Amino acid sequence: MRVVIADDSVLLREGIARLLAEGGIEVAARVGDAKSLLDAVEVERPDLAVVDVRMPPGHRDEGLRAAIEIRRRWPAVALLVLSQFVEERYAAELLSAETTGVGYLLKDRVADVAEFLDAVEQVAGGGTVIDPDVVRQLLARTRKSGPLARLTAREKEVLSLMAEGCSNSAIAERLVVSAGAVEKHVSNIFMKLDLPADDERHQRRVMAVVHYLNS
Amino acid sequence: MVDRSQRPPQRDKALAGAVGRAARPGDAGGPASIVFVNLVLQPLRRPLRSFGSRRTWLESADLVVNLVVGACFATATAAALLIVLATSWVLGVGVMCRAGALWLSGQMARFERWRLQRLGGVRVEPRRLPEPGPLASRRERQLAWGRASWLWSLPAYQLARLPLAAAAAFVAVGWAWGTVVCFVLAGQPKGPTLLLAWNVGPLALGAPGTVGLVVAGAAGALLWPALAGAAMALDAGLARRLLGPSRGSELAAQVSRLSDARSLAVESAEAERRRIERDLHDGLQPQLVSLALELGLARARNDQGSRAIGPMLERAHEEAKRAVEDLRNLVRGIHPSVLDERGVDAALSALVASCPVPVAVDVAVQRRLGPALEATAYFVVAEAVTNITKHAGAQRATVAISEQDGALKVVVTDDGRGGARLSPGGGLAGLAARVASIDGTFALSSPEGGPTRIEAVLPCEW
Repeated sequence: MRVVIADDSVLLREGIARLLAEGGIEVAARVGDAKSLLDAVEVERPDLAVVDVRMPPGHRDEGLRAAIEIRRRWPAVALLVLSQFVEERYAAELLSAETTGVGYLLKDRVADVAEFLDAVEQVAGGGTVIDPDVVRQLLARTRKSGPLARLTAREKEVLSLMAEGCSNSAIAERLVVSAGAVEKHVSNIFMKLDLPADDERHQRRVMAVVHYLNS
Repeated sequence: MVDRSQRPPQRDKALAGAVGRAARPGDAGGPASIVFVNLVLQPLRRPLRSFGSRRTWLESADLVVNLVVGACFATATAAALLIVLATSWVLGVGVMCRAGALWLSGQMARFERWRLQRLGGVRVEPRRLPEPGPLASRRERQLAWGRASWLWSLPAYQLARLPLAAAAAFVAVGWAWGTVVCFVLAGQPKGPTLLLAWNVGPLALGAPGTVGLVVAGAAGALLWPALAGAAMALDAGLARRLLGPSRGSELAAQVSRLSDARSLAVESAEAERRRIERDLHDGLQPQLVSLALELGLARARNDQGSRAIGPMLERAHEEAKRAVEDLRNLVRGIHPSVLDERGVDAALSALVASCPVPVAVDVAVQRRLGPALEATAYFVVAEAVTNITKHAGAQRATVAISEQDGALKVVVTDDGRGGARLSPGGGLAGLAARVASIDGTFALSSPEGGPTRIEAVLPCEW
């Protein structure tokens, strides 16, 4: 797997590069701003781009916009967007076009090496990884209408664990319930969020979150 | 250091100006002569002394100057007002024309004040002109003229002054003519009486008539300074009323200054918060994330139990130390506690020590000045020193803080490459806003090639 890293902090850029190298991942390019990111992706055509949201020159959401641009121009490149603050709006924008091979994580997650490498593998493999904080933000907002309002508290809990990428058995373990109970919750969630039943299983889980993001 | 109480209050100064030059008290003599001096000589002294004096000449000249200038300015004013009237219904253009007419009146008023000062020795304090904030755009500056309603007295002066000047000139010419006629006639007590080339026929004046004419002529000549002075006083009175400060204009100016100061205070506080956020976000946060990452890597290796984790721990250690240091600097940058405890001078020591360019600090203020003032003074220096470190490429820099006329003056200079600008959102602009928020003034001089000079004058009481 070949990766391009874009982060304006040299320290973090190098740190992430070493972390990826540790996981046996080749780092094709390291850049510090949005424009060089686009250039690097054009030249290197990596499997994955790890992108910081806030980058020069404006130090606003240049990275996010570059990521959306990459998705538009090179849909094959998977995107893992890192941010010092997780904002559900950013996640919604990122996931509005296409949800395969997209990840949106709090930057702090790099500290948990194994989990981070996991997320990288998952995104590069076409999966979707959403930071649990995003889900927390979504669930925190009380909306009177909308699909999420139909979920019970337990189902919301299950949904947020699903968004973290937990499997059914992992969720059962975390919530100290039987696998069968989780299975039931999950199918209830799919039903309440009007998700088609014939989707790929893995895809459906993430869709449950994305669905809400885009509503 | 100048004590505030030692300065004459502003009001007294204005009053002294309004009175103009007061007559000097007469010289004291013996008891017998006092009556004679006070009753006879004293009233005569002034006209006698002032006849032919520089002052009389200037005031006489002003009779002419006033009329000529008045005619020109009144014409220009009338034309400007007509244009304002004609365009008042055109959106946008009307506003610009009004601003332009008032601006023109302001320039003419400046000339009038100069004329009164030079020819009449009368000082007329300026009516307050619009003072847009330090960050106002060019257009805002122009339009500010149109919004200042108290400025309409400036064109009013031009229109009211012309008839006054004309009347004064008319009376003066008549007066001078009459005086000359008295002497001419007195010189021809007998025979055909010629008034210049004009034969007014044989007038039998006789001795009393001649004496009367001489006395009248002498009185006319002696009272000429009084006449010229009166004309000047009349003009000065009008000017003071219409060109000088009015209560309304002073209040309006104060209100606009205060509301500017308030919005600048809010803006500068907001800018400060953004700066702190940026510093934390771009400086400290990545460091701590990187530290966590380093430790995470070390832990992962440790879990595998095979490879050496020494270098990783070493890096993590270095990063932790650097983060602690940066946090310290950041906290200090938000508000150094020594500033509260020991004052500006003490706080500046550590600040300039961190600057790679040698900085000479001269703080000539010993007393404490209140937290807001001290903090502003400190941050003027801090921002300036940051700029010097980052951009100036200077060899040396100086910081001077002194107290003058109830204000704290902070001057920072460097011999660097210059070219510093007040760009919106920049550090210097934030500083200007912060200074204006406590009613101070901020001046930046930084020609290309240097040197750069930053001067902030902060009122000690605001």
